[in-house]
Amino acid sequence: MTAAASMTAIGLVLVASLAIGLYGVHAARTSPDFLVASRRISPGWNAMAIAGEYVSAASVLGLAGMTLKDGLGAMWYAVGFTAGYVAVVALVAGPMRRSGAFTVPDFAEYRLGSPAVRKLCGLIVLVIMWLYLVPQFKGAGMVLHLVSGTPYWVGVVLAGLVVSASIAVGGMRSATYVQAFHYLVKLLFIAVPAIYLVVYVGAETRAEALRPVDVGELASEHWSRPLIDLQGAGLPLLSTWSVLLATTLGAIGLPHVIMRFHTSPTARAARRVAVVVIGLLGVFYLFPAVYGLLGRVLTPHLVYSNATDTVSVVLPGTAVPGLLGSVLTALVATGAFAAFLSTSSGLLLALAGGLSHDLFGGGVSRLRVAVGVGAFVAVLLSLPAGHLDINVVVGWAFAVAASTFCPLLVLGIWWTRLTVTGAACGLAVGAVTATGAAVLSAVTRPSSAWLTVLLAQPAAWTVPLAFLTMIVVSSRGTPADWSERAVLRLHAP
Amino acid sequence: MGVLREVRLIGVDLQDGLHGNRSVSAARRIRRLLGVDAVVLADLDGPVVRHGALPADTDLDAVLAQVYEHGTTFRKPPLCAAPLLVADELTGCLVACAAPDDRGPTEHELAEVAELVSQALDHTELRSARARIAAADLRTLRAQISPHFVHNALAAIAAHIRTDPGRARGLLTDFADYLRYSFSTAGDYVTVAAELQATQTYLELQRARFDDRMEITVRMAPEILPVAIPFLVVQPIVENAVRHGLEKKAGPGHISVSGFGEGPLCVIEIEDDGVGMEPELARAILAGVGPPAKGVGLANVDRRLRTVYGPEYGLVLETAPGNGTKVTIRVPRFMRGVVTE
Amino acid sequence: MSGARRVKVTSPQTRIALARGHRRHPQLLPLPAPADAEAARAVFAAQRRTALRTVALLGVVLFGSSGAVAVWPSLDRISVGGVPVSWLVLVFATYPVLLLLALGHVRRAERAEKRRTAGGRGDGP
Repeated sequence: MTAAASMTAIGLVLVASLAIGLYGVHAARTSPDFLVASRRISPGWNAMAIAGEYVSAASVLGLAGMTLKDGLGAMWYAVGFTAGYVAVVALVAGPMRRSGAFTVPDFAEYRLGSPAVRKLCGLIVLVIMWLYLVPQFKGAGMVLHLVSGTPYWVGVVLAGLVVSASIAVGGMRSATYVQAFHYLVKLLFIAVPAIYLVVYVGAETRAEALRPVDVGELASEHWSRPLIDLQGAGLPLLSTWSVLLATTLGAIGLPHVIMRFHTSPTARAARRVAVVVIGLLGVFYLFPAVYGLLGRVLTPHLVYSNATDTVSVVLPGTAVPGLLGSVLTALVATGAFAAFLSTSSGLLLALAGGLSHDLFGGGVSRLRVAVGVGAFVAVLLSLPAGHLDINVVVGWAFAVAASTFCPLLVLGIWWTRLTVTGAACGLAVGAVTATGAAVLSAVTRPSSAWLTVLLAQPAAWTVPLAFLTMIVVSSRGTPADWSERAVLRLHAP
Repeated sequence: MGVLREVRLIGVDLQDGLHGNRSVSAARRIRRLLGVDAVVLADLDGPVVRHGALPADTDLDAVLAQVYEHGTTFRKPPLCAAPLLVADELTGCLVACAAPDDRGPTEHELAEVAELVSQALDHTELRSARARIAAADLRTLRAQISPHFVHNALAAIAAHIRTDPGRARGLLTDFADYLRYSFSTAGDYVTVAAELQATQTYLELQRARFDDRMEITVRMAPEILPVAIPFLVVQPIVENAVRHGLEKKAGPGHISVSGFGEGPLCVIEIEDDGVGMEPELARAILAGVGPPAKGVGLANVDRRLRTVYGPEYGLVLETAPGNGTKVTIRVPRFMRGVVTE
Repeated sequence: MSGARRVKVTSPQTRIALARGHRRHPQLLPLPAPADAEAARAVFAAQRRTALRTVALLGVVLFGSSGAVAVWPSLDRISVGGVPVSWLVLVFATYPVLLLLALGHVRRAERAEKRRTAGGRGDGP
């Protein structure tokens, strides 16, 4: 029952996405009142598209799962995801649009004029995008396993196929309206069941959700402290701040999101779009916590079976019996699927663009091949990642972005003396340290609490290190003579 | 080998002309090549660069005056001077001063070296001419609004004035907009939206002329509207499609302009169902060896796209006689320096 | 449609470049200089001040709110309508503050731009 309802809803979303994708490239018979200018994407749609691409399975599944497992502190991730857009408004949205750059490698070429740095940026795009794709595919595999009982690996492979196919069919051409549609699907399909559940469970359960009990090895007083304590190391403030640093600054450097600002006609519009995004994200992030809190009361067994990331999908069926429960489950599963589809296709397209355009010569056939290769590698990486928390891996992707592209963009936009060597050194140092720490954290368990936290979320030290490297190395060289001109253009009204 | 290298490097040093910052280095090389004490390179206003010391009592100005007056080599030991002729025009003078106990280069040797310097200077001028030609390419297109088109447009408007004054007024506005766009000198690049708007007004005017037996479809993904592209790359192709594809065709014609993003690329396709052309002719046009009356716009756009974006971003034509033509413009969404003002 | 099958045609340069596959790095086109360098520098400085201010405030909001929750565990025990204050701060209070911060920045940045364009027009011929 649940499986059938979910499959139907997911199928409908897929069909609707395709239809919107095709309609997005409007056909217009000529008519005297036809004006190209009026067909520009309005800031509202553009902001919804950005939010749609940005709110990933990590937000839909991961935040609720982490809240169930580790406590409400997980919502600091959401605060960081949103705060990132304040940084985007203040630091990059307008200037990035004025540069005309479509991707981060484009910006590197604009600002530094170096093919080598462009290539380096292309490589880092791959690292970030793959790190970000793994949790998306994990989420898809898990949800599919849950609603239809297929093995995890089948879900992951299927997810790879669906995303590549949807890009091949039409996702390459006009994605804005599709992504905006996905934002609405996500918001509605997560918010409506959440509100219904809060009303349905009754006053007693609501009160219980606010007075947490001990579950598993995690004592309730620990759980109810609204701070992140990475891997239970006992350093909540350091963990929380490192996560905030990673998510806030990482949002600046996420390659697939920064591309969307290119659609705005002017720098001023780009800035305003980013402000609307903050509002849209703020609304959305009110809801994942509901699933986590109620899950603590109604589905605590997920903590023991290490399946907390599934709580959003499991909870409605457990709380509400019968047909209605199935429908609610289907809604949430579809919302999760929309989150997965929009984010993954955005990520995969950015990845493929980097692979085909920045690292190898262009050409449309190459773009298609690159989409296939990108999806294949992402699937391979996701297969052994079943046990990793979605949110933790997403945190790593943000940490790498925050330690590489964030300093490049911020210094490139606001500091005239950045040099090619400085940027290259900073990018290399940031990429190696942040990725290295994430890999180490995944395979080892250090004995020291400090080391545990600093490896699990390295942004606290890798971001300052990358900034410092760029500044120190740049100060020892001389920037190109057009360097100041390149910066001033970014701020010219 | 060493001498050949020196000779080549003289040319490199003179890349920016006599007044460039490396011309002293050229003078030093010439001095070593001729085995003399000093070398002076002068233009028509006097000495520009000197390498080595001249005897205190040298009257350089008199020597230059002598060379410029007669236009030939002049010898007055220890000095020897030869004129620099660029494109058969006197532009300067090479003066060599032999060592005190040496008889120095012969007039013939000096003339050879002067010829070498002249050639290097000639190259410099050609190089700057090339840049001017690229700019002129655009100006040709701007000025290429044919009297034919102006006449037809005005005639079409006139035909509507009595029957449909509203339409006539709209067309006249279109005409004014189109002229303003074509003659605008704001910069070399515009947004896709602006170029499309101009194309649209152009098509609107042409449609009035065709008594509406031309159908137009514009399909544009809104994402690419703010992309910067070179000025006048879509309109000339559309114009070509109308003039060489649809005008010659009997019955209704259809032209479609569609654009979309393709990852980091921006693609614009212009397709008509007109008479098409021989692929050989299309090839000749794009190679720049076609008949002068045909496809000037196509060749011009193709050349400018390649100049701006590199050879792989030239136009792609798909055509066959009797089967219409499709022209594809595929350019990166971002290219450093391609900015609208 | 009647007639022969369409044939794909490009210029010889494009044909060879596409067949060769790997991309030659194109020459860098020069960036046009700003019309009035002094004015551009002034705008840049003004925008940088605004940006620094916003980023500093953002830091205060993020590290301040999480720091407060960490320093005063008693916030967990004080509750409003049954919900601990620290939870309210985290789940509800930060988003409006962030939005206000961004709105304030946009207002300042746009005002700086407007002042500059208006001033530039006044000074110009």
